Amino acid sequence: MKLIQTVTVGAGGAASIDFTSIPGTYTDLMIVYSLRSNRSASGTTDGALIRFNGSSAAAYQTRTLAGNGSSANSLADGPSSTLGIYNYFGATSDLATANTFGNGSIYIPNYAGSTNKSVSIDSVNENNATATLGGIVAGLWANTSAITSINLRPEAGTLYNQHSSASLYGILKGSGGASVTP
Amino acid sequence: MPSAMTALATTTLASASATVTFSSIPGTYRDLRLVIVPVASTGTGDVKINFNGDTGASSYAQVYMYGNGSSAVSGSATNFATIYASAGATFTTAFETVITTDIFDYAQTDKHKTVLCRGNVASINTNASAARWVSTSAITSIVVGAQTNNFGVGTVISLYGVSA
Repeated sequence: MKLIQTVTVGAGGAASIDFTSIPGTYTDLMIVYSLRSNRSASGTTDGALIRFNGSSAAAYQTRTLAGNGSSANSLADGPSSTLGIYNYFGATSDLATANTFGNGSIYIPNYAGSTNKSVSIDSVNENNATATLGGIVAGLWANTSAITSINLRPEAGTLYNQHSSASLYGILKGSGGASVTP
Repeated sequence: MPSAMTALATTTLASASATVTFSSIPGTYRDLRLVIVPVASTGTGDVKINFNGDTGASSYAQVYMYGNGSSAVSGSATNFATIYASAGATFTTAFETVITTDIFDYAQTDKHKTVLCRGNVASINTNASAARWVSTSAITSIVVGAQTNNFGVGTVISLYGVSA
């Protein structure tokens, strides 16, 4: 697993975190993120929206399972114009305890291949209180293009706050000591 | 930068197969990770995992949860003959499934083996489970099997070693 790029939001915030010119030389991609948005209207959480290759075509689909410490629920979405970490566990908001960030990981296998792109997401929002949210997401981008860019932005807020960050890693399959049949 | 995750073996099926077997797994890593991107040869199938050829009736215990878009479900069992890697969700003839399976301390001989599975089929559910192989043996082989229908052409299954 090799680090491709890290994006850290500076002073003033950023409307999105973008990975561009992603090389097609790996097998899978993984993003690890730490996010806090400027959402301040209500709630201590914010969702996160993902687009591949800048595409806003209604080709994204998700199944979500989330828990809040007292109950669990499930959500289905799509076809939609974005792949969403909905149910508000993609990031913390400005109403959450100071210095807390939502965290998670996004795994995209065969991102440079010629089949539809499946996505696995684990995420949690952090808040120094009794209420917080965590969950998992199954995603699909029904597009056979290789992924060359990834856009990550808040669902309700307009900016990711300073110190939010995301790192993109490439994973390369291969042979290294074990045998496989077939 | 040295990589903490090393590719050990991979296969991309050129013809349908009921199983993919990883063998001669070196014991020099701390953990293992399987990445399974299955497609069915026809219909649907379940992905199951067995270690060292163990298919004993009570060799595995598992607790699972999944969300199918309308309800959240959880369950458990202590008498499985296999680990079901994607609880409540079958893989289909479409490329829409990704399953990751982490196997911790796989080479240790002082503990049962703990496994965490994450399964995703966007049209069916997202799921997570924790499983235990009731054995202190080091894992030297893994069989990834398809139940009901075979893995189809284009199925990709990769094994990685994770260094401490």
